[in-house]
Amino acid sequence: MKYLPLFFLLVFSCSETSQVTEKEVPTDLHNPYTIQYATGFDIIQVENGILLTVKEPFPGADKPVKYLLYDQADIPSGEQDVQLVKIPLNNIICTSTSHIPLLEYLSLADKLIGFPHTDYISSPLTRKRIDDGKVRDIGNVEQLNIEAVLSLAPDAIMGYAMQKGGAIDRLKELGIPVLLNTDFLEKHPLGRAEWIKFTGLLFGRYPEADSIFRAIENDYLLTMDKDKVPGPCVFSGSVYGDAWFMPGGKNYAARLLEDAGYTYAWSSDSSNGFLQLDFESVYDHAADCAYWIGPAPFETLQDLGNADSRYKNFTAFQTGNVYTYDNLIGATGGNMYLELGYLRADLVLRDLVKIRDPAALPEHSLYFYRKIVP
Amino acid sequence: MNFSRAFTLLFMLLLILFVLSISVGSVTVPFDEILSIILGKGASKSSWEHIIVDFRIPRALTAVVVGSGLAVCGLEMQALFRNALAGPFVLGISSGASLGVALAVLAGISFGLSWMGGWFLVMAGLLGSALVFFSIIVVSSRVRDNMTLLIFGLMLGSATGAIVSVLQFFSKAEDIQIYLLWTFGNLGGVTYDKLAVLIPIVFAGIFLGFILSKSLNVMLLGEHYATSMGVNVRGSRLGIIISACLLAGAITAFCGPIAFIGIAVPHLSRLLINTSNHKVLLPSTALAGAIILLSCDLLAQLPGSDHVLPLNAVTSLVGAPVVIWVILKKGHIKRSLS
Repeated sequence: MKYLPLFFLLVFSCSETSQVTEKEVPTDLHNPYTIQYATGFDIIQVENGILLTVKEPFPGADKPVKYLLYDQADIPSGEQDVQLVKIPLNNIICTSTSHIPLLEYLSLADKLIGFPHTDYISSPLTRKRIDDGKVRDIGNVEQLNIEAVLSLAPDAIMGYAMQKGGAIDRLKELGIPVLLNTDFLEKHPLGRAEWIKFTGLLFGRYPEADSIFRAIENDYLLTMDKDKVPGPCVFSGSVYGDAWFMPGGKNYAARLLEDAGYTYAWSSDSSNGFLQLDFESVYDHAADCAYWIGPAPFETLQDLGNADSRYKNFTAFQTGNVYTYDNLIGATGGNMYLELGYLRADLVLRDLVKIRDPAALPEHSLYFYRKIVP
Repeated sequence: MNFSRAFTLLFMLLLILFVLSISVGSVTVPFDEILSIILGKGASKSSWEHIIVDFRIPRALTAVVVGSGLAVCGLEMQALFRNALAGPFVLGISSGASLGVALAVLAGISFGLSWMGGWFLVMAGLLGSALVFFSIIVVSSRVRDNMTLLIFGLMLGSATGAIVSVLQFFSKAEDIQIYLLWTFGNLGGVTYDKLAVLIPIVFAGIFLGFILSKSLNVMLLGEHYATSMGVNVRGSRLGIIISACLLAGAITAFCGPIAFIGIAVPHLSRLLINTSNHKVLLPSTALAGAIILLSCDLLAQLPGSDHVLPLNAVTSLVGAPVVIWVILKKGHIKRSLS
């Protein structure tokens, strides 16, 4: 009996140790995949493959979507709610222009075999493949041409939103894996860029994706305005109907402006979507702001003023400091910013810094943005 | 209620709401400052002056003009077709405007008008409604029966609706959003230069309706009766159609298809003054339309907050229960219409 206290002590201390081990040691100690900025997905090495989790498959979702990526010949037995995807993929159908540069930067442009409304794609490399008939147009993204998709027999489809009962849902039922890329829900610009790792993983190119991301991250951090002196005031958006669409204070566009050294006029707002504001409150708040970045794309200031004469009352309009992001338009009318701008957050940031301080970044000239001429 | 009392009441209400809609908004401007701005003495903050002069006054004026125009248009259509469910859009005019705007926004057809800037959508809408207008005139000169005209208008409406859905199918999400926002209805985009065009058209439409108010009275009793009363049915019908097209076409082109007002307000005003004499009914409907749209717009602005609601959501959400309540309470819509 005299050993009993010792026994209890041992048992107790053992169990305590194991609890501590579980809590303090990160579960991904041996996980070669690190996600730093993106909050929408994570990657864990598991016994029979790689577990890829998309945490918010659609805005406000409470249940994640899990994929088990495997490369061995025999199909692993997975849990019921885990979709199995054989990697590396040999080809893919993408559904958003922001997916195109993810493939191109990984030298995987030839893997794209289908896209809805190919006219929206601007990159010359992929445009050439479209013109050569190597990328098939698969109709409207909301109502994909299922027969066209099936005839392409893709290894997977990269979607961007899960619509219950939609075409994408049906394709899943037909056995084509639908991989959800929800980069647009990220709050940090580098979080959006980091989705290249998601794509890299699917094609067995994770290390390349990682180094591309590192380069973008380095450039972003170097370009970022580090002195925390309040910069010039900036606002964004335009009025449509009765509402002015303004990025929320925690929106990724707001983050880019702040990182470029501006003071965003709605920085105190706590939402990350778009605010629908009354024109008069925008005027009251931003009338004296020095910069207006990202109004509706008008060719000249005169056109902008004609669209609504009240735009002329803004100081930014009067001083001509109005910039839009349609500097690069593709051969078939697509906007390059909406294609490449999410991956190359560093280039967007460089543009924004250059707008604020034309003397900065002497080797850089505006890429996505252009000043609206008088 | 006796006519003069009803008119005084409506006038007072209109005045109060007009002042209220200039005074209340997402930005708080002290009332003495507003008075000083209206009296031309300026304000202590220059942005306030812009807010009152460039935002609130044109918006309130638009609400008055559009509200009365739509209500009168609805009244005319209900009399012409002797149908309580008729409204400004039954002739398909607003569908025509929607088609014009959809072609411009979704199909990117510029009609050679892209130089017009802010007028572009308005002109596209006007072109669309003019197209429908002329086809209605052609049809109305060939068919005698008003019901045929009603069916023609409805068919035209669904055909243009179908074209719009095909266009949407092939359009970019951003363009679809711009189009959808247009269909929500808005009063804030009408600046003074646009008011200078809208006001005369609406005034002409209402004036024409007023001149024809005797014909409207007789029309309610049926075409045969009207003919036996010596009314030139064809001429009157053409006049009423022109008036309705001017009103619905111009208003939809400038402000989008604004729901509810045109159907409901004529009923409200009939219940209020309890007559089917359009000489009285028409002006009171115009006043009531202005009052209701001003109130709906006030609510859509969510005073005190920076946010706005779509105008059509408010007109339908707030308006429909009011109408149901009034109908249940009084319940003589049919009697007042015939």
